[in-house]
Amino acid sequence: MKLARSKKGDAFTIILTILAISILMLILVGVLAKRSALSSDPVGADAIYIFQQYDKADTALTYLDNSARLSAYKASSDFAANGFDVSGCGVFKNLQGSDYNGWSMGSAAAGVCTAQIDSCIPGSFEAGKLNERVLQELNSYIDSYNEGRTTGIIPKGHDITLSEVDGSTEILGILKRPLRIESQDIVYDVEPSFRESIGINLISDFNKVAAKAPSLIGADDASIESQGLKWDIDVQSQCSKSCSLGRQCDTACESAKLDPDCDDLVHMEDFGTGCPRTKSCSSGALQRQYCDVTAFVTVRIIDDAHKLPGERIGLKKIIDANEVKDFEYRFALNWVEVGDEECVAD
Amino acid sequence: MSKGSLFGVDTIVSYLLFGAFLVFTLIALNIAGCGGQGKVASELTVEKQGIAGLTASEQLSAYLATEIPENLPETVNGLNGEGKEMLRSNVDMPAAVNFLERHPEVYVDKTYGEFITALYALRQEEGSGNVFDVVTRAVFHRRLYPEKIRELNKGRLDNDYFSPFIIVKYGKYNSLEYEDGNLISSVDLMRNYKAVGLKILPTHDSKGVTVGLRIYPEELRDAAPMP
Repeated sequence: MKLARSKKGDAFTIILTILAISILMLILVGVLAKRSALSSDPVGADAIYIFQQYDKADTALTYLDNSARLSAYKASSDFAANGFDVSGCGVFKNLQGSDYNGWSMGSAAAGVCTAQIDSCIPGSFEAGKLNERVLQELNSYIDSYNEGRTTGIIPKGHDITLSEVDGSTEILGILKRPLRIESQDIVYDVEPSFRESIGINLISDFNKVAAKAPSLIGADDASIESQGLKWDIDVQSQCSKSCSLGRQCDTACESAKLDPDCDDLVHMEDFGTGCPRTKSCSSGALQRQYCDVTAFVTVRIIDDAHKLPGERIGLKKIIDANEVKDFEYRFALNWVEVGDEECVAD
Repeated sequence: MSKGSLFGVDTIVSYLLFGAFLVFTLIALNIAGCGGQGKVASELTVEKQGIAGLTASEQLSAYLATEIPENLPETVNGLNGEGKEMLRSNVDMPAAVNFLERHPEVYVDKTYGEFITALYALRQEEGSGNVFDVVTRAVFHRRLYPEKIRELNKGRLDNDYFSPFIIVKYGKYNSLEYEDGNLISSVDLMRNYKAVGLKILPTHDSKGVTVGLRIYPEELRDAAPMP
C-alpha cells in the first residue's frame, strides 16, 4: 500500500512539473508575441509598406513615361522645323523673320559669273541628332521632378534609339542605372527604361521630303498636296546683284560733229552722208545682273483627325509651350538666276 | 472510507490542484493572445485602408495611361443619352464639344494623362475646366451597380452611373484637397472618400501638375468579385 502511494505521488509530481513548464512556456510565448507581431503594427503593415515603396516607384515611372512622350514631341517638332538639323548651307530669314535652315545655297562666282548651287539636301535620316534633342528635353523634365527629392530620384543618361513602327515613331529609352526607393530598411530598385511612340512618322516623312526637295529648285510660289503632305513654297528674290564676266567694254559713248557749223541735210545732199563725226566712249566692265532666289518651303502633315470646323483638310497640330501650332518640316532652297549682260562704267 | 479510496483527501487535493492548473492554463492562453479576435479584427481594418490607398494610386495610373478615343466629341455626345441626366449635371455639354472641335490636338493620339497636360497648356482658354469634367465623365463613367444587383432590382438602378472623382492641381504637391483643384471632375454621388491616389505629370513649362483620384468604400465593394 505504501509503495503504491509512493508511486502515485511520483506520478503526481511529474504531471505537476510538466504542467508548470507548459504554463511558463505559454506565458513566455504570450509575452514575446505581444511585444512583436500584435504589439503596435497592424496586420499586413509590412506588406503594405513594401507595396507603398513600389507605388512611389510607379509614380516616378508614370512621370517618366509622360515626360518621354512630351520630350519626343518637342524634340521632333524642333528637329523638323530646323530642316532635320542639316547644316552647311546657311540659315535664311523670310520676310516674317523666321529662320529656315538651308538645304541648298546658290552663288555667282565673281570673275566668271557662273551660277553654282551647293546642295545640303540630306541623304539619310540623322537619328542621332534627334536622339540628342530628345535626351536634352527629357533630362530637363527629370531635373524638374528630382528637385528637392532625396529618394526616388529618376536617374539620367538614357540611351535613346528611334524606329518606325506602324506609321508612328517609336522612341526607346534604356537606362541600366536603377531608380532607387530607399526607406527604412527597404531598398527597391527598378529600371527606368521606357518605350513610347508619337503619332508622327518622322522617318517616312523625311524620305518623302528629301526626295522631292531637289525638284523644287527653280520653282515658283506653289501650294501642293502630295503623299499625305501639304507643301507651301514661298519664293523671294533679290535681283539687284551683279557679277563680272571679266571683260572690258565701251559704255556711255557720245558722238560730236567735227565742224560744228556743218548741216547734216546739206552735207547729205552734197556728199550723200551726214556730217563727219567723232565718237568718244568710257571704258567699262562687262557684267551680268543676277537674282538671289530663296524658296522657303513648309511641309505640313495632312491629318483629318485634326480638321477644324470649316477647314477642307486637317493639318496635324502640336502643343508647344502654351501655344498650338501646325507640325511643320521647314527648310530653304537658295539658288541664283543669271540675267542679261551689260557694260558697267569703271 | 479508507484514505486511498475515490474520495480520499489526497485524491481531492490532486483534483483541486488539477483544476487550479487548468484555470492557470486558460489564463496563460489568454495572455498569449489566443481568442483576441476583437483586436485582430480592428487591425485588419487598418490593413484595408492601406490597401485602399494603393488601389486608388494604381487605379489612377490606369486612368492616366488610358488612350482617349479618337472620336471623342461623339463619345461626349453619348452622355446625352436617356438615363444619363446625372452625368450631365453641372456641366456645359455644347461648350465642351465646341472646345474639342476647335482643339483636336488635346485628345488625338493622346492618353488621359497627356490630355491633362494639354489642358494645362491651354489653361488660359475659357472652358478648359468644363472640358476636363465632361471628358472625364464621358470616358470613364460606368454603371454604379453590378449587373446582378441591377437584375435583382428589376431595372430600378439601371440609370445610376458613377464617374471617378479626379482633381488636378497645377504644380507638384504631396496632397490634394477638393478646394485646391484647378480642374475637378465628379458627379458627386458619394461623399466620405476612403482614399486618395496621387500622381505627378510633366508639363511643357516643367512646372508639373498633381493629379488625385478619390475612391470610395462603395467602389471597393463594387470592384470585389461577386460571391
